[in-house]
Amino acid sequence: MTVTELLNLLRIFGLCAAATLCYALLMRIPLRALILSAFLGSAGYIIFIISSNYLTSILAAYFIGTLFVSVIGEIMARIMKMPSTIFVIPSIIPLVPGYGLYLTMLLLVQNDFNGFIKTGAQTLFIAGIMAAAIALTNFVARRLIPPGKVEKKQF
Amino acid sequence: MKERYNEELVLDTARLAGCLILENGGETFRAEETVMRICAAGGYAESEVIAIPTGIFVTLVDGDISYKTRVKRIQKRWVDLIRIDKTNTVSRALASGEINFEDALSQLRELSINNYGRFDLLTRCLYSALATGLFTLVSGGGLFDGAVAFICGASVQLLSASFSRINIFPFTISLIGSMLIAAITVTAVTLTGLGNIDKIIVGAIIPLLPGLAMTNAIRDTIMGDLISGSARFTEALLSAVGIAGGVGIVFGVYVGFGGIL
Repeated sequence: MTVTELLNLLRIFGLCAAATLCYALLMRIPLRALILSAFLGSAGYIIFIISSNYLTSILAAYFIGTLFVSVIGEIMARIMKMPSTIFVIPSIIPLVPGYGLYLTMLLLVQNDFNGFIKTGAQTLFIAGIMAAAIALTNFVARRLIPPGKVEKKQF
Repeated sequence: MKERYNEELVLDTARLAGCLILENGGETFRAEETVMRICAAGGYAESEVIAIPTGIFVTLVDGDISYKTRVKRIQKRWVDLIRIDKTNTVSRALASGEINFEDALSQLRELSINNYGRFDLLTRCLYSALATGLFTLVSGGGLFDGAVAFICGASVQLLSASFSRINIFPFTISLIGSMLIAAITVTAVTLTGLGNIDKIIVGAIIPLLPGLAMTNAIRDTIMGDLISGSARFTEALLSAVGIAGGVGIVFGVYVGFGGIL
């Protein structure tokens, strides 16, 4: 990796952290979680960019980025005794495939139906795999360390 | 056997807590878990709760003697993470016995009324505008693109604020919001001859994207809450279709008038 690439990544990291910060404020995140989730979102996006350079499958890169965000989010949630949603929801925003959605529509307007189906399906897959990464982490985390002591009864 | 609190008090507290979580963007299983935790803390471990995105049902079972039920319809749903956090804190304090039910109920009531400095419209517009502008820069747009996205972000926030008063279906906000974004973008780029349409729009639609609904849909489905999962999946899908449709309509008109994308 060259110096220019590194500098570019740093620039994206800073911008992305600021953008996530504003978005988190819009969702009225509690102040003690604000900085953490801004950096978490930015770090997840950087990990996505780096892994998409090395992996042939863009889906895998989305999976790794989202997995990172949700694992750290669950850990932060346990440490700070807050619901994990508070960290995960603002932090995955940079990864949400807005461009795919846009491109899908653009191709439809341009009468490129093959491209429309292809991009649309890929966008749907990306959304699915991101949600799968979050759900997987959430499921494993709840098995390992149940949040709070809930008196569960047998249903 | 734990000491049993007044049924009405426990029910009101549990229902209010569940309602707060569902209204402010929490998952269904989190709402159910919180209600169960509160009921158990009140000495009613054998309670039942069903939460769906549009309502919550809580039944307290007092041995074989009596059943008491509360139903609450969830009218509005938005994202307000601070309320989820505070509800969570209250329910944990209640379960560990730090506060009693009277205090918990009054704290939750306070929570549902008090806005905790809910931002005024101008502040929300500013945050939304900054977020969209910065996301445009992240996705590779130039300064001009960022500035246009900034304006789009503020206008969408203004639009959704003016619609939220008349209680309109979220799909319409996605549709009209993305039409507005596309129209502003296309006009700005055509008039000045600067910027990239795609970079601006990608940043500007970020506040409209159904990220929360999508993740909650899959989470609920995996946790076995199939009704909530399908309901939220539909919500996410409708919202995405709304955004794509809104952009598509404006682009179609633009191309029809001889514009080049």
